Amino acid sequence: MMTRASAWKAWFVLVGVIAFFNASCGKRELEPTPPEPARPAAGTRPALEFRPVSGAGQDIQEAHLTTQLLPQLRSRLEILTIVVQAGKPVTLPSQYEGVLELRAGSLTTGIEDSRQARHRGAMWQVAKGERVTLQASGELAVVRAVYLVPGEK
Amino acid sequence: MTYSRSNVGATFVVLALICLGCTGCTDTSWRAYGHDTTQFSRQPNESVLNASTASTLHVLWDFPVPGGAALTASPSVYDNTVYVGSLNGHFYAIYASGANQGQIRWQYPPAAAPNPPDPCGTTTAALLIAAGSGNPSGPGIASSAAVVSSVAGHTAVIFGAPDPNSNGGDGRLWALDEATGQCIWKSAVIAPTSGTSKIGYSSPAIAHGRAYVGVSAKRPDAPITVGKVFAIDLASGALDPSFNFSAVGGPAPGGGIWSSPAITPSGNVVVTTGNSCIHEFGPSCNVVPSPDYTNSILKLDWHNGNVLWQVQPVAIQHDFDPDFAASPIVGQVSCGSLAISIQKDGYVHAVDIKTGGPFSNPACSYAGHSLECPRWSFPPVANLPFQDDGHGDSAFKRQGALDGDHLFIAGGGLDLEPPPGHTEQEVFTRLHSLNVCASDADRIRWILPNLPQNAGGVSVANGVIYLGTWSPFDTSASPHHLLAIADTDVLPPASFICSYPAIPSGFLCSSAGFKNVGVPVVVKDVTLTGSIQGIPAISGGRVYVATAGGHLYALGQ
Repeated sequence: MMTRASAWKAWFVLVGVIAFFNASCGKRELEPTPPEPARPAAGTRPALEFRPVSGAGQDIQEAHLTTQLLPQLRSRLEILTIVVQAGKPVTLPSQYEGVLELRAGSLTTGIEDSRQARHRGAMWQVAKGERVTLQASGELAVVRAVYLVPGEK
Repeated sequence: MTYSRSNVGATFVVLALICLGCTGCTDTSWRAYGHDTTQFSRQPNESVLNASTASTLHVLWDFPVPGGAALTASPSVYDNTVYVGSLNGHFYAIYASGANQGQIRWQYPPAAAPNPPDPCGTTTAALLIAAGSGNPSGPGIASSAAVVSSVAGHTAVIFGAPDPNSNGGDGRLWALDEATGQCIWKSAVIAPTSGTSKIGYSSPAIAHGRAYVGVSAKRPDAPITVGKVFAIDLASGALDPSFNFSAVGGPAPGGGIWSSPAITPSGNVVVTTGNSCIHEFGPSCNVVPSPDYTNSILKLDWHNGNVLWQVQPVAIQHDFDPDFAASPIVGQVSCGSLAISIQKDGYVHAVDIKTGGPFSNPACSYAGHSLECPRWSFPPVANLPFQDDGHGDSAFKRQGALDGDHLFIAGGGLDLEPPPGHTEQEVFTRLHSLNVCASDADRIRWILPNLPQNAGGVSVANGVIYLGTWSPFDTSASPHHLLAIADTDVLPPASFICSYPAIPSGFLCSSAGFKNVGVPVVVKDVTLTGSIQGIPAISGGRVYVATAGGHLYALGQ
């Protein structure tokens, strides 16, 4: 036998259980709109002007970034960005000694008989007159070239 | 006084409601890419697999695709059936358990054409593009299926695929009865073979009685296509003409949708887009399109496709192909509602979804581009958009999984700008757990380094992360791995690593301003045949894995 009081108590317990389930399946405010994050604006930089690398076809293009004079060495550094399109290997003639760094993408390099897969961050040296074969393994690869040009102020 | 009959009746009604509620919370199916339209890739109702039981995972059955064709789509699970499409143009429904487990329940197209013909004009021809698809998403089916109730009176599986009986493979959505495989409808054409697009990896997101799906290039970047999102009416398969989203306004193409849309808590659509052709040197390239929604995370109004905000982390002038290959993860966390995705350059970005729009922030905008700022990026970034040449096509990043505030993702990494002697590749063979609501300083929870290959799809249940390893474009039978990893909340870390992994853990790490974080325990490593490109589906104590080596596996105890 259940009294009215205990029946009400059971009822409240059940309501509590329902509320618990509703809460567990329920949602918070759907999509709050916090204030815009305050951050410094990026300065705009001009787009690079790419042109085909001389004697290397249309699948490899370069843009000149900067020239750094090294007067004490009677030399200068020429710094370029080189973009390699996906597809067949392309040959990059090295007019000068330098260091190449893979800045984006991945590629395979061929220097003489040595082929090597390289990932972003990889750096390698090239000698003057060396012919380096580059084949992008993705859709594009971006190479930073730093050439040492001797004999000039 | 006695307890009255009406009180007893009311009690039963209440109990029935409670049971109904319980049923609604214990659905163990895995109905879509990323589990559901949030794409959290989390199974909330797994009752068997945990850190202890996952250590005994092994292959219960293996369905080898006839002819060995690759599976690059992810499996969906419903009604004791695993659904997945193959690059051979066949869609398979495989019994998940019981006496017929691992056996074909039905396949589409069927072995014999229906008689009388069905509304789709089904024949026995495989769903393939006859010619001209060099896309690794294949000439066949790479779109993962969504299981949807109440589609013209059926429970349907819906996916994107070419129509072999329409101009050699016009791309459409297909709705098949989940129990019989009979075609309910095929949608209007959304990727005509006469154009440059196809339905690639994009899988339908279901909301508002519609399926939202995107298109990408028929051949990867050759040429780049115009990315578009379509809304298909679930009742009829008709195209909703009031919804329009194109990723570029011309004159140059761009912004392919290689990923799957996700749905925000209030029902809007979030998509990620691919690259422009600014550096493709093609005849119509080298110009900035207007509008330009390439390489972006975008929130779209579900009614009409209008852009409510855009995050474009890399300025188009410096677009060296850092596509969003990953889909967005979209939904509520303890600090609000976020849309999270990862670009091919490895940066993870989390954006406040917000109510309404359009929103933009001058701090992240530039000429011709009114852009929103992300709430955070990983690794942290001072200024956006990027304006350097270091953002490109390093590898296709997968979107990870989200459990509460804990994101599990391979990418980012404080050493994403590789220190001398290291390469970015090291970062992509690490799984990070990030706290999406923490400060930048406390973002990293743990790191699992030295994965045997690149990280593929990730899913999570009960604090156990399931990760497949993959090798891009690899459809061979090469061995890959399904790892079960215990979150450090459920098992103490096995060891410690510096949050900047090039620095040894311990005092050197902390004195350099970084943190020593845990390395989680790998509770099980199962070797499988083929690269695991998609997301492992967790359902009813089992993990279902599709491989590009042409196998569908069920793992369990």
